[in-house]
Amino acid sequence: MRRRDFIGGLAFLLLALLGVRESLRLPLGSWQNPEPGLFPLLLSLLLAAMASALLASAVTWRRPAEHPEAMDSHPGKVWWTLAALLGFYVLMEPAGFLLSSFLLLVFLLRAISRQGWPLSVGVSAVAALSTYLVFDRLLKLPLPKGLLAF
Amino acid sequence: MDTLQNVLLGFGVALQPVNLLVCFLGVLFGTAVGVLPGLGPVAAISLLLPITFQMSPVSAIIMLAGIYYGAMYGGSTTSILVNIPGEAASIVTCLDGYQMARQGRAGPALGIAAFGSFIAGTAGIIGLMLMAPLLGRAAVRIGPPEYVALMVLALTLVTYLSHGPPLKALIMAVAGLLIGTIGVDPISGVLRFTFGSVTLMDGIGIVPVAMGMFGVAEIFDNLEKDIRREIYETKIRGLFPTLRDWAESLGAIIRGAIVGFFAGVLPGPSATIAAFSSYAIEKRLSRHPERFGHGAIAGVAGPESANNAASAAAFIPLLSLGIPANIVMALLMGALMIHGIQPGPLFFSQHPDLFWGVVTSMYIGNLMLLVLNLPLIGMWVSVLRVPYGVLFPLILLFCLIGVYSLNNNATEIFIMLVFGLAGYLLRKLAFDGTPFLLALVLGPIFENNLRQSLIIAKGDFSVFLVRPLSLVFIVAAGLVLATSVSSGLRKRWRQLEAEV
Repeated sequence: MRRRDFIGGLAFLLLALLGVRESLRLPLGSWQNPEPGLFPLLLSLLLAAMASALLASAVTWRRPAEHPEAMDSHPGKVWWTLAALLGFYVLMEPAGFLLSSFLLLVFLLRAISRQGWPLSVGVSAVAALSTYLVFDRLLKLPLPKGLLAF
Repeated sequence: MDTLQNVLLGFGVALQPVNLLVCFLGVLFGTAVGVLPGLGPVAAISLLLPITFQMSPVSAIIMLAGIYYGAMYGGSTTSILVNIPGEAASIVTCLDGYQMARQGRAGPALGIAAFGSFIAGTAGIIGLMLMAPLLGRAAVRIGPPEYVALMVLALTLVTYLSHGPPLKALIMAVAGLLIGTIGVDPISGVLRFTFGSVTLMDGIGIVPVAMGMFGVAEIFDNLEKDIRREIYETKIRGLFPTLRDWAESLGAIIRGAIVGFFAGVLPGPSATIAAFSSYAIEKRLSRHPERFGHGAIAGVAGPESANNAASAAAFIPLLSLGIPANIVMALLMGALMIHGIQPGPLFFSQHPDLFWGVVTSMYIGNLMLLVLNLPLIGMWVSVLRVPYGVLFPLILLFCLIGVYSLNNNATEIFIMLVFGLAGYLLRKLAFDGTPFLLALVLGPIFENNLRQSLIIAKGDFSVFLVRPLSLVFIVAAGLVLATSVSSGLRKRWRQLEAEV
């Protein structure tokens, strides 16, 4: 069995089944007068068929020569970065762009890139402040003020 | 005469001070993102998109286009000096460019890449000027069934040309079409798959998806692999190629321009395909094929010319048919639509100043790049010395600002992160993101035309086969599909035979 294709096929099959369920809740119409549900239903069925074909080929794959994937060198870094980005998403509006971007950068530079404290704090402060000034003040693209809204 | 008048109109627009300034900023920023591995034109255009909202549509597109072809120029610098392509289209430049740098010939390598890019880029623009309006005029006469057939062909070609097995690419394309149906149905106004979210009512935007799947996912990938790079420490002197270098490169540049132009019109990663094809052609035609891979200057000149010609040609299907050939074109299409402009057959008659202004600005931009690239190489090298560990948090910050500023909506950040994670996992599972994103953009147009065709034909599917042009597209799509399926089956058959 080929693991990568099995996981991929299964994920897309689930997406297709969700698509089928949701499309059936919409009016379908007819071939003469297609309504909003028809096109997504057809796509979901097509996707389900193709994902099943991928699953079948993954299961019937008989070559044992699949290498244990040598790519997992630093997956921890990816998950921590993602968590930090989600933290930024949650914090940005209540705490404001300036503070949340500063915290995000310090975390990424110090914890993920292992830079020293002075560089991490310095680069983060300069980058957060300058992007805020350029985007919010100069280019008039409003960024959330949060705690600094005074 | 008509064309001459139009070119004059275009120069009138492109030479306005504000447009010269945005063109300069675009190519400068484009070169920078081309130089920096990990920040490609997709992320750069997404970041600058919100800034262009305050500009006129002409200035906006001039700047965004500048980023695109500027990145193609910049990509060669990293390939030659660091052996890391800044851009997928510059991968093949590493082979001989880096070898030239190691032999102390980084200067001529960078020089010929810049000159070749300039010559082929200009040739590509001339081709664009001649072909796009012709195609646009022909396309005015095609109706919804032809459009449906054309999009089927475009999507089939994308899946055929993408990385990996065709079944996986097809799955990505169909998933893209499906995700593209999220939001308000344009014909009936019914909400589809919004699950109560106000943000989803407008559909899934192309910018958060592109940034997620191609910007954030790329960074995740690099973090996992822990990329490090070493700049080849050499004094760069004599950027001007010698007469002998020119003699070896001129043919390669001309052939690269031709190959690049025709590849560029095709949907998919055309600039990359153009560069690889050009390299293969040069190696075959060379009297010293053994020198390729060891610092042959034609191996730099050909591919660099080809990818620049391709980037000009990629504008043809977008502007004349409303079909983006690659991710960057899809983003430009999004930018045009934000400004209330629908690219397609009527584009030339409705917005002549925009078309000719943008095209002539590309001439000017190419000239700027030539002037900019050669003296500024020292600066780009010092930019390259910034370690990736410091660079990636800043790139992520730019992605966050770009996506948020689009609609001042934090939910778009969440969507970007979801697609960033999905893109990272899909890369691990060997699924290519390109067909997904192009299908996402084409989905709503495809559905609209499909439904209109069925209403016109009273539900009779033969409407796609009885109209000659539509039949041609469908047959072509069928042939492409059959070719890829049969090659896949042959491969499987050989494996089974080997087992027995």
